[in-house]
Amino acid sequence: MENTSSVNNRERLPSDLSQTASVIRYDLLKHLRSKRLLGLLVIEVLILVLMSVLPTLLGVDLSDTSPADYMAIYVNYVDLLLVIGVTMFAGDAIVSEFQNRTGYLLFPNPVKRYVIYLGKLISTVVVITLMIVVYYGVAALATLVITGESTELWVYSMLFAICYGVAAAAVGFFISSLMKGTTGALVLTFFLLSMILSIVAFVLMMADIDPIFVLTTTGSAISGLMTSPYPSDYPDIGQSLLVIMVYTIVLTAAGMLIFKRREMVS
Amino acid sequence: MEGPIEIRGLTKVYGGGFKAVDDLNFVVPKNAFMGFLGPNGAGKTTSIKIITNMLSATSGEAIINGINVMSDPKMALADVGAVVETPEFYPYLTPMETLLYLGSLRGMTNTEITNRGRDLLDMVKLTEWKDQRVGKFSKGMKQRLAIAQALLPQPSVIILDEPTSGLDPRGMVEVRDILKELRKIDVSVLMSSHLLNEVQEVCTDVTLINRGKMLRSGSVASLLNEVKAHKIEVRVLSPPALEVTNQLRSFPGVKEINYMSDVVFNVDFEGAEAEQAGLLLQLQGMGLKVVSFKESGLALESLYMSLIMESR
Repeated sequence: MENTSSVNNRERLPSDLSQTASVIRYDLLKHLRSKRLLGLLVIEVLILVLMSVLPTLLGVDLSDTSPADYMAIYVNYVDLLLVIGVTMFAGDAIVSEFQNRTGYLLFPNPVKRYVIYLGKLISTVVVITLMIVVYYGVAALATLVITGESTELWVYSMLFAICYGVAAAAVGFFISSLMKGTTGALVLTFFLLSMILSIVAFVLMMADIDPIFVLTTTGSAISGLMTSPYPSDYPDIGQSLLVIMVYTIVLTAAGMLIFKRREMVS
Repeated sequence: MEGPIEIRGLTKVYGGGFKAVDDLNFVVPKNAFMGFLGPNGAGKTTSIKIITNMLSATSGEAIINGINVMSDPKMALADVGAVVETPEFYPYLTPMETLLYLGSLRGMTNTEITNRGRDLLDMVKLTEWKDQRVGKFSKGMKQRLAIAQALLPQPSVIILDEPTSGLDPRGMVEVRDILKELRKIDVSVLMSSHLLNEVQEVCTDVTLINRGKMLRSGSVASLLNEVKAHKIEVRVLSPPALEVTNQLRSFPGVKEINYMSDVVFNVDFEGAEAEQAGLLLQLQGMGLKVVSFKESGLALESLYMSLIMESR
């Protein structure tokens, strides 16, 4: 072992931005090597194959369908894919550092908690974006093959789905920073995005309150964008993007604060 | 007194009012290997978690190389390598990838990490596992890797929390050998432990705590000089008569006599070496044929036990 006097660890300490990049890089490696990503890809492939091959096998002729209508069949499942993706990649991202005790390795390092949080969130957003792009890409290709035409509407839907995915990931991270166990965090993330928020929106509608501020309500715009002109009974895109932005910023800030204050007790 | 680690009035009160650390004060001198001793629940791990920014203090300060951990943890921990409890590793990374990740957070270049990482993995005997994912490593292997990552940035301060805890005897010996290597380099170490032999074997200084309070702090040599209570094991050729035992109990410094067998008994004795020599002469003067006369247990243990008893 060498003498330590020649090294100035304080001077060479990287910036928060550079450390965030390191966290993103190694968290992406985690996702890429995880069975969860593989599982999600299998689900994606299953949906795409079923949608593309099953109608042909059953003798249903979809070649006369408009490309937007045909593509909309695939887009209807994006919401579900996002819920599964966010649950898998965001649901336990923070709480696992405590429950799995990896925090004992990471936290004594000279890195701020918000850097860890942000790095993990960005890597999750990257994976979710990748998942969405692959899904839309394959669906667009299948649409071109089956209907012989294409439509640019899927690009708008995809871009909106990515934005929605960012907000959903922020929800997952917030829950993850709040919960004590990984199972609880995963279950709550899944049911919040798939059921609870929808129930809240439904109840609000019953009470004649516009549920536009409920995140999952904005998610219906993913399908709505596959119709031209954009249907009037769907949530307004501008308002929806604002809601998505507010959810992302507020929940990320709150999650970071909780994570920063959270103690490594057990 | 100043040192690389200064703990000033550190207090931690958990929810429910439990005071885990109570106005703790001590300094780790430069290049000292300080043992942080105390029974289970004494507040060692809580203190170390506060020093390494994993817990917040209710009051007080933990200062590393002049910087308060609470106010600027990033800069305070920049020159610190730590092993707290038994950390878990990211199972999808290999040991070398783990070092590359943690090294990159400290601003080390990939070449630097790879070169140093190779040496460290060799030192902790993990070279042949360097490209295997950590997921299936044993506890001992993980603990050795934890020590390697703590040494990676060549820190001037190393903090170890019970580094041999939970290891099998072989693992303990291996880790202890690594700890002894640390004494040879220019580094200040704070190591918590409740294993007195470990502390006496590797530490130059010691801080004793119980119930969150500091009992004593200083060099091992100076603390050992304070030890007055000794446990002396005596083996005689034939069983002593009852009156001899009663007579022994009245000797100056003798606190208690416990028979282990007919011919072996322990004498709890208070006195310096000269008095111990006197006790041996008295035993022989009473006609006992002494086969062996030796201090049983560690001197540090005697001090530790007496201080712990006093603090209750």
